[in-house]
Amino acid sequence: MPILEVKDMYKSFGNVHVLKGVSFSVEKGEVISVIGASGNGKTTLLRCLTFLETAEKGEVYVDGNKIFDASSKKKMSDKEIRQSRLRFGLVFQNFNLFPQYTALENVTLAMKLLAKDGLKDFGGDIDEVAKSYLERVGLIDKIDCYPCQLSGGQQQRVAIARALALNPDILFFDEPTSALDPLLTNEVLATLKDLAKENMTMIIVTHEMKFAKEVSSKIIYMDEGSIVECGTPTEIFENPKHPKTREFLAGFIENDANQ
Amino acid sequence: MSISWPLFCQVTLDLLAGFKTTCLIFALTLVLALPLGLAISFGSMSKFKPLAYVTKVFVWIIRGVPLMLQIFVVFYVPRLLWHVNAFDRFSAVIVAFVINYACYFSEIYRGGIESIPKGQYEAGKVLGMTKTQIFTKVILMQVVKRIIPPMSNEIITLVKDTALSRVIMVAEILKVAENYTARALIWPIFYTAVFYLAFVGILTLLFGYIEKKLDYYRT
Repeated sequence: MPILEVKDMYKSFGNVHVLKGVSFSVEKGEVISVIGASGNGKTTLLRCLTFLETAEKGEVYVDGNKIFDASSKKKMSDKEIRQSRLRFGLVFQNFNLFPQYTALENVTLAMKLLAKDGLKDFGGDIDEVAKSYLERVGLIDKIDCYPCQLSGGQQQRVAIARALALNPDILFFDEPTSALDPLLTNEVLATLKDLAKENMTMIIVTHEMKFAKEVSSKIIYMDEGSIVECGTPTEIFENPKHPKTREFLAGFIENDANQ
Repeated sequence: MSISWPLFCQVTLDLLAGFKTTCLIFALTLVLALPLGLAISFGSMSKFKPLAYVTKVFVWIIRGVPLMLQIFVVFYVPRLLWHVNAFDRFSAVIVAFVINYACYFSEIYRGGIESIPKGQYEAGKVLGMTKTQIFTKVILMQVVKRIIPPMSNEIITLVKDTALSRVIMVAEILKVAENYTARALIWPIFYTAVFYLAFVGILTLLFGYIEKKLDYYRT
């Protein structure tokens, strides 16, 4: 059974139709990269899945349980949304760390609140658990630093630890390296590769084609709010079937050749 | 004009008594208007539009009319309309000051709250925090840091606005000093500046200290 199944999702902002019937499924341990030009609904897709936006049509299943159904008459309560959200983690393009807290406190804040409200059990001392996650992203020596004392790459790795620490079933990344220079990008991509090796289920919206090719089990190419093509990296990068995919990837290859 | 030592001491003691009233008006206004201002700012940002409109009109009226006039209204209007002494002089001053300052504070809070990036709320949400938790644990501290400079300005203005309460004969420091003019003594009025300056000086140091305390992070 797929760990995540999205069925026929639609979302528009005013007259702009951003998602036009997106369906796909994810198996446990898969790493899926979502590629495509900006403004084609990749970010909106992640935002709908994490309840930051509400899709107008569509259903979402996690482990076979329906966690979202746009056609349902009953509006989801804040509590239901809160619980469903915890199935997923989201790492933002701009990190969105809490500036007044240290790296460690950024990780522990939500953990402590969730433990207090009885929504999660972290099996042990929360500070220690949080430190283990920061160690995993290579920042054990930075736990007492405030975000403003960290580089962009380090901030993003704290954000990854913060999302991982809540033990989500699936981790979403919304262009995690777009705000970083090439050096810092590599540092964050290395962390993502480590997570992929540990079989973390991930959906990554990215413009890093080399990285996507290397780590993904599946690539989704999105254009104008729909999934145009979906397949293994070899299928998509070596032998794209759809003319739009070919056109999009040709732009990247040209770019690489120019560098 | 010669100032004798005993007269100087007497004036100083008198002014200190008036200054006590000044400080009381200042402290009560601050303690009551700071939370009320936050409530008003929530009202003006409410998604329930009628509440937002009513609040905004109220803030417009309070900020659009001189505080002195508001003191008159609170003190005299209940007497004229319903023939009741709703407030004694001191309470009337406190009521007028609290409402007036709460409205100014509410706009400072609103500016501060609205300046926090949306991403902070979203990060809290995807981490499973409730709206209340996001506000108290994530947003509020950042708002406090951002509003300290405009707040300190407003609070320093409050120190000097207390002098307005003399329009309904509340014996704050300037009123006490003014009473000496009946004895042909003008200098006590100028002498009050020392008290104001000392008070504002302490506040300035205090705000500087708080700003420095919150300097450990950048937003």
